[in-house]
Amino acid sequence: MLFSSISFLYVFLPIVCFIYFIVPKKLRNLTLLIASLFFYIYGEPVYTLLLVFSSLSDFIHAKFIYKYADTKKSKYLLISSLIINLGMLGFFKYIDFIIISINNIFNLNVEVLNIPLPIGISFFTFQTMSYSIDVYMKRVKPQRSLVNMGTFVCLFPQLIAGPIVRYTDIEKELDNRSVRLDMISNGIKRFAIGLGKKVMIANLMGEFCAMFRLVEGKSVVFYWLYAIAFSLQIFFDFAGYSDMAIGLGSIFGFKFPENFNYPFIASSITDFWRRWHMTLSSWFKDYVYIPLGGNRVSKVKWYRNIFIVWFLTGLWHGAALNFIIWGLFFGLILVLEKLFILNLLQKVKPLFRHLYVILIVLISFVIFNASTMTQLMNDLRSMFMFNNLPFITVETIYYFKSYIVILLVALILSTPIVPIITNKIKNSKYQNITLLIEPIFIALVLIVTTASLIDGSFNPFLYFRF
Amino acid sequence: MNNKKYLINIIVFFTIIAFFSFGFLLKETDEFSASERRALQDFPTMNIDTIVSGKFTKQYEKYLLDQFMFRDGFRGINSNVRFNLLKFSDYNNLYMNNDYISNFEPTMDEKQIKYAISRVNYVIDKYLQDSEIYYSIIPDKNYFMHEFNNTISYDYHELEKLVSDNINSDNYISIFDDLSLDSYYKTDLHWDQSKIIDVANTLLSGMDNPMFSDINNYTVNTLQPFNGVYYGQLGMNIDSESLLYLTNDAIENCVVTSAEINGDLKIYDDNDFNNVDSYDVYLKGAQAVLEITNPNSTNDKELIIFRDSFTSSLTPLMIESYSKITLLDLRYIHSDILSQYVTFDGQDVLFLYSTTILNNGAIFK
Repeated sequence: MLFSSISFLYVFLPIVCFIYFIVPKKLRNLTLLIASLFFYIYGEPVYTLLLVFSSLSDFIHAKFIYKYADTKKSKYLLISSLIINLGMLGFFKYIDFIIISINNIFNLNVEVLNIPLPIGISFFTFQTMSYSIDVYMKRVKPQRSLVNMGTFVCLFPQLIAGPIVRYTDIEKELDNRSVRLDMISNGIKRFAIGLGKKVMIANLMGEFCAMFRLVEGKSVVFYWLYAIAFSLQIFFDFAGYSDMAIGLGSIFGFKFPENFNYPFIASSITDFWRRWHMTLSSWFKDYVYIPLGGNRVSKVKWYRNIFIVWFLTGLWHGAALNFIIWGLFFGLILVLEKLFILNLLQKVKPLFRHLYVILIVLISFVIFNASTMTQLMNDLRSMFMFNNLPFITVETIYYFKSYIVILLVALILSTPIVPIITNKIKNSKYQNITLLIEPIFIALVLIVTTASLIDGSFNPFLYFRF
Repeated sequence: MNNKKYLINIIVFFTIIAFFSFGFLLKETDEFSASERRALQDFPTMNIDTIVSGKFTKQYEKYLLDQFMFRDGFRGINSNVRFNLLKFSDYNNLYMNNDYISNFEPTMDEKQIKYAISRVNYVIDKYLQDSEIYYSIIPDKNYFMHEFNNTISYDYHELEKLVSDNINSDNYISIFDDLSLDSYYKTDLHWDQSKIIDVANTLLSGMDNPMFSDINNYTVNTLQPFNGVYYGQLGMNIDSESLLYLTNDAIENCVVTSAEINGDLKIYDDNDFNNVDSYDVYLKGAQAVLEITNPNSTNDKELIIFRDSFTSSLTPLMIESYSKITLLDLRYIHSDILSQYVTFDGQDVLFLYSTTILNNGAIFK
């Protein structure tokens, strides 16, 4: 079930909210667990068992890891938990990629299994793994209630596309949280912001990208417009989803970690990755980079650690070569930044720093979105005028004119201009105006997004495939 | 103060959600959308198979979208946001200019056009060796909106050339110069019968026919409100038009027979104005085989037109020059069985297709 669907907005959400707010406090986690399982069953009837198994497995593993703490048994149990989680992820997400790679390398003809990818597997396996590791590292005590554990893993707001919520993030709230008007109100506002980002910006950028692949009259400028549109699509798609997830969490009394912080205003790629998919970056930092030694090793090992992390980051996004190239591309840029680019950037004007970041990001997302290596090479060659394409065509001008308003809106909203203005209003004598603006905004978003959904518009969530 | 603000946000959000949720529960299920001209999704079958396969949830999503309260109103809001707020040039494969709505078809599909011509050539080779064969192409509204709008479009003259280079006939009659944007309805793909008398004259002249007519030969009849096919597809609140049809004694005395409907029919039938497609007023709309006999004809000339829906309103303007016109629509009858319905014995033949149909030629049988 998509957050941006009629079934979620007008059937699932009101029923769950109604039940959640009327049941006794002690039954709230159970309510959320049942609702979350239904949410998953609705989209993935068969793989729900996998989700239940994953929750149960780490619940039991963590219990015994804690019981046998400081013994070899504890270590073996952690390894067992990791093998199960990574085994599930590896089998369901990467098995066909591995078979195809082996076939290509050894010229074999092993049949691929064509296993459908369970929705959200990359997210919930990372959450359960971090839970077992945190118990092993004694950062947290194991959860005693199976219902609470199930609620942590299956919690529908963050189940299928993040943010990657660690057990430590919501440990206290799982055991004790209260219904607060400010949290519900802020949650609603955040949900509406996310819904608007997703339906009114990401989907329209997605339409541009889908149209781009189909129409004739490509040009160099058209390819750059596509790169911009896709970068904005993936940002508003994923940031919109994260906003909705954080907002829903807040309605139910949870405080989820932030996932985006205006990444397009970053002044370097290092800075960009502190602002983009922050929960994934910090997960890899805490559970891979630092255990490998981080930067407290020799320079060669440091660079190796960076490349390992970025190879895995690329692979996490998808079982395809372009994702690995995408990850390694960022690994390379980050190493180069540490070697000399960061020093250079400090000597140039802020505008050039931002242009540098935008250029790298646009190239990276063209790599990210290529469906084949041929398409990847063709896209990059076309952008850099190696494909003998005209610089601009009538079609480019037509579509540019058609999408210029929404492109400008998206560009403005990808910067913190709007929050800066609203904060100024809130701190001024006109602060009462927010009393009016916020409910109008919420109502408008609901009406306009509902209209767009009903008209059957383009509405995929990009991060569902990860 | 803050609590008041929080409460307002919460009340607004949940009131809207609850209003449409309860509204949906109370609303009766609609079977058909007149504006979109399609059947709406009913509540899907629910059993273990449909649930496990995911079929139920897919159909349920469609059911919710189709049966949502004020569906047409919401579609209108969406179109208005696209066109008036975001200034999109096109949406849902439609675009607007000065209240004219047209389908957005920027690309010429050479493969489909060649397939359509191959079906035409098949018919010529199989049935029409003794006939004088003419052909013409009806430009769709885009041709004129392109000039008007300077938007993207394929080269219509390239399409003409592609047809000319491949069709087994040398008798091309161009009607491009007899048309302009106002020859078409604003909300429909079709042309306005009162604006195509020159087209009829050009075709008659091109087929060596001396009889010409002008608007003064006819009585103009009006049906309203006419909302064309694009009106419903777009969902926007646009002024309705009037559907015009031209009559005179010769037309009213004609006898129409269809291969699909028993009995004699009329050239125009006002009752069909209330059909899903109001353009059915002309010759009953989509029909595979129609014969129009003119009992007042002063000659015994016969014409066969292989046609699409544009010809329904054109044929009445040509009937005075013939004793009989037969209309065949290769979208609804297979070319192998034509001789079961028509005797081919040297009649004049006109292949008359719109660019939209040629560009989607895979529908030819």
